[in-house]
Amino acid sequence: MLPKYDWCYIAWAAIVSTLISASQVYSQEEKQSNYSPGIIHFYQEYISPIDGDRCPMHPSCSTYLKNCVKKHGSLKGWIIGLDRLVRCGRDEVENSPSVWINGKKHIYDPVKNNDFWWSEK
Amino acid sequence: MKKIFPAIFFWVFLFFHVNGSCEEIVIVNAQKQYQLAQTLFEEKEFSAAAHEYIRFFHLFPNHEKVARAKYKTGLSFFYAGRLEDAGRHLEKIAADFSDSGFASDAMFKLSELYIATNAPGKATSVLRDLITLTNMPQVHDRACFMIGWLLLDKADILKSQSDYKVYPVREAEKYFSMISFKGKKKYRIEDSITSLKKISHLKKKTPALAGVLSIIPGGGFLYCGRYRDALVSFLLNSSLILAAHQSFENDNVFLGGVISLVEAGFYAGNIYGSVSSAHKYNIKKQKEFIDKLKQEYLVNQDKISFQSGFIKNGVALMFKYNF
Repeated sequence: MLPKYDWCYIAWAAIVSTLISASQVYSQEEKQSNYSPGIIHFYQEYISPIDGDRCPMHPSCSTYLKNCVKKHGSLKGWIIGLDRLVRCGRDEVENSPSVWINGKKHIYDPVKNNDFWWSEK
Repeated sequence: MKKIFPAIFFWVFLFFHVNGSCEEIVIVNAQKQYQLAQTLFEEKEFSAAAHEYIRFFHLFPNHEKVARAKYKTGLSFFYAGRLEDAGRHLEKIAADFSDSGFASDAMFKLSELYIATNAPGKATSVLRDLITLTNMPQVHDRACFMIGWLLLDKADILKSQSDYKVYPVREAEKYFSMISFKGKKKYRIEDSITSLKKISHLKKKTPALAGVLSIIPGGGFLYCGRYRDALVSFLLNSSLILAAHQSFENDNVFLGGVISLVEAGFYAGNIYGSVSSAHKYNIKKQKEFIDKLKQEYLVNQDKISFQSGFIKNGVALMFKYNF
C-alpha cells in the first residue's frame, strides 16, 4: 500500500499529463473551428453579463484570450492571454491607440499588436 | 365617304410620324461620346462617366483617345468609390499602354488605391515597378519620393509582413537618395534625408535583455519604462508563488499544483510581455521620430498631407501629395 503523499503525487501527475495531452488535441481543433474554450465561454456567458462591461481594452481580455487560443493554440494562447491580464488598462493606455465603442473609449490592443514580432500569421 | 376618312387619317398620321421620327435620329460620333463622358466626369457623376468612357472605347476601339478614356474609366471608378473596378482598369492600363504616359499615371493612382485599402505592400511593389520601368526623370523622382514616404509611414506594418525582408526605414533612405539633384531641390527633401540618418542613433530597448530581466517578475516591464505593469506583475507572481509554496508546505499538494499551473502561465506571460514591450517601445520611438520628420517637412511645405481614419480591421493612415 502506497503512503498518502504518494497517492497525491500520482493523482497530480495524472491530471497534469491529461491536461497537457488534451491541450495538444484541443489546440489542433481550436485552429480549425470557431468553438471557444469552455472556461472562457463560461465566463462570457454567465459571469460577464453580471459583472458588466468593465474591461478598458478592445477586444476585451476574455475575447483576447479566446483569439489567442484560436490563433496560437492552447499553450501559447494561454501565456499570451495571461500577459494581457497583467497589462490590462495600465501602461498600455499610453502606448496603444484608442477607439470608441458604444460611446466608451477603449484601448485598442488586438492579438496582432502583441505577436507581430514573431508570428507571420 | 366612310372609307375616305380613315385613309386620310392614316396618311396624315404616317406623314407626321415619319417626319417626327426623322428629327429624333442622332448620330453619335467619337467626339460626342467622349464629350459626354468628359462632361459627366467634370460634373462628378463618376459612375455614369465611367460607363460612358467604357461605351466610348467599345464603340471606337481604334480612336486616338482610347488610352485616355481607359485611364479615365479607372479614375472615375476610383472617385466613385468602386475601388475593385478601379484597380482592375488601372492595372490593365499599366499593362497594355506601357509606352504612353497614362501607364505611369495609372500606376501612381494604383499605389494610392492600395494605400487607401490598407495594402501598403502592394503599393510599394507598384511604385518599385514604376521606378524600374520608367525612363522619365520626373516620374522616377516622383515615384522615389512617394515610396520613400510610404515606407516611412507604414514601416511597422510592412516589417510585420512575412514577405517583407528589407528594413523599410533603410529602404526609404535609399529611395530618397535615388531622387535626382533637380528632384531633391523640387521636393526639398535634403533636410529629411539628413535627419533620417539619425534614426540609427535612437535609444532602443533590447528585447533579449528585457526577457532576461523578467526572471525577477516585472523586471522586464521596469526596463521598458512600464512601471505600473512591473508592480502588478511582481505582486501577482510573488503572491502566487507564495500561495503555491504555502499549499505544498501544508501538504495540500493538489491546491499547490493548481496554483503552480496558473502561476507558470503568469510567469511565462511576464517574460513574453516584457519582450513584447521592448519591441513595442522600439516601434513607438521610431514612429515618434518619423512623425517629427513629417512635421518638420510639413512646416516647409504644405503639399503633403497625412489623413488617419478607421477601416474594417483597424486604423489606417493615408498620405497624399499635391503635385
